[in-house]
Amino acid sequence: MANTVIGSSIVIDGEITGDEDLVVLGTVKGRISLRENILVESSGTVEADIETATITINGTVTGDVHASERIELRNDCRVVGDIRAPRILIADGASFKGNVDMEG
Amino acid sequence: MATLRPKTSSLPSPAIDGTTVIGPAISVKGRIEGKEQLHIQGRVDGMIRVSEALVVEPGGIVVAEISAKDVVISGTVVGNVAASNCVTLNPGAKLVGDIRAPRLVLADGAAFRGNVQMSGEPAREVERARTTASRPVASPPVRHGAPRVTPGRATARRPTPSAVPRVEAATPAKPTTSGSREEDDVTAVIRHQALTPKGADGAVKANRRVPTRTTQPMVLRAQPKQQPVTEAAANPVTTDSRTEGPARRARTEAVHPRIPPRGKRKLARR
Repeated sequence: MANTVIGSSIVIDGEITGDEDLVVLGTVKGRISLRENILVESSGTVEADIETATITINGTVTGDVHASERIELRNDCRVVGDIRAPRILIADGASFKGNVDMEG
Repeated sequence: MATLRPKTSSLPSPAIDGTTVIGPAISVKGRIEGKEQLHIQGRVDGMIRVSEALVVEPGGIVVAEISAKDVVISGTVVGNVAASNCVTLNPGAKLVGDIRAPRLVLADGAAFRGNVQMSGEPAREVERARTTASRPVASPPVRHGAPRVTPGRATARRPTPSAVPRVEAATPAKPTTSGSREEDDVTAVIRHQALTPKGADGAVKANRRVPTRTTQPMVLRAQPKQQPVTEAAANPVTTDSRTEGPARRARTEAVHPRIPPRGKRKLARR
C-alpha cells in the first residue's frame, strides 16, 4: 500500500479522506477520515477530529479520535480530546486529557 | 512500558523528510501550504501553495489554485497555475486553467486549455498590458507557441528564447501611443467580425417578428413593398403571432396582387 506523507513544513487546512496509510510530520487542521493506519510523528501536529482504523501518536493531537481497531499514545505525545477504540495503549510519559471509551 | 516502543506499527517511518506525498487513495479538501516538495498521486481540492516543486503524478487529480516554485504535471489539473520558475506539462498531462510562469514546457501529448503569461518579474506589467487593449495581441502567440514548444523531452529545460520576444512585443505597446493605436485597430476589427454575424441574425429575427423595422437593409430585401408592411403594422398588435399573421398576408398580397385578400383580411381583423 502506498504511503501518504505530510511533510514537516506542510500545513493542510481541510479534510483528508481515503483508504491508505498516512504519516503526519507536519500540521493538519480540520478532519481526517481514513480506513487505514495513521502515524503522527513527533514533529506532527493534528488539530482535527480523526476517524481511522489504527493510529499511533508521537506528536500532538487536539481533537476527538475514533479508531475502529487501536489507538496508541507513545511516550512523548500530547493528546487533548476524547479517544474511542476497542484497544487503547497509553505509554508512560504520554500526556493525555480527555475521555477514554473502549467499547468501540 | 519501554517494551511498547519496539512494537511499532506496520507503518514504515518516512524515509525522506522534505517531501510530502498525497497517495493515490487519498483525497484532501482544503488548503495545503508548505516549504517542501509535494507529490500528488491522489486528489486535492482547494488550494495549494508550496515554495518548492509541486508534482502531480500520473493519476493525480488537482482541482485547485496552485502556486509553487516549479509545477510538474503528469496528471490532471483544473485551476490556475502560478509558478515562480517553471511549469512543465508532461505527456498525458491535462490542464484546464491559466498558467503564469517565466518558463513553460509543454510536451507532446499534453492537453492544455487556458491562457499563458510568461513574464519573469513583471507580473504587474502584464496586468497593465491586459487592461489596455493588448490582450488579443498577447494571447495568440501563446497558442502558436504551444505546439512550438519542444515535443521532445518534457524535462528538457528550454531557455525559452521565445518567451523574451513575446514579452518585448507586449511591452512597447503600452507606452507608445502609436503601438496602442494599432492594437486598438486590431481589436476593433476582431470585435467587428465577432459581432457581425450576431447582428445579422438579430436583424433577420427582428424582421420576421416585427415587420415595422424598416431601418435595416435586410428588411427591404425581404419585403420589397413597404406599404403592406405599414398596413400590417397599423393593426393593433399585442402579440408576436398576431404581427406575424398580417405581415405574411400582406407579403402575399404584394407578390400576388390579383388574389383578393380583402375579405380574408377583414375576417382576420375580426
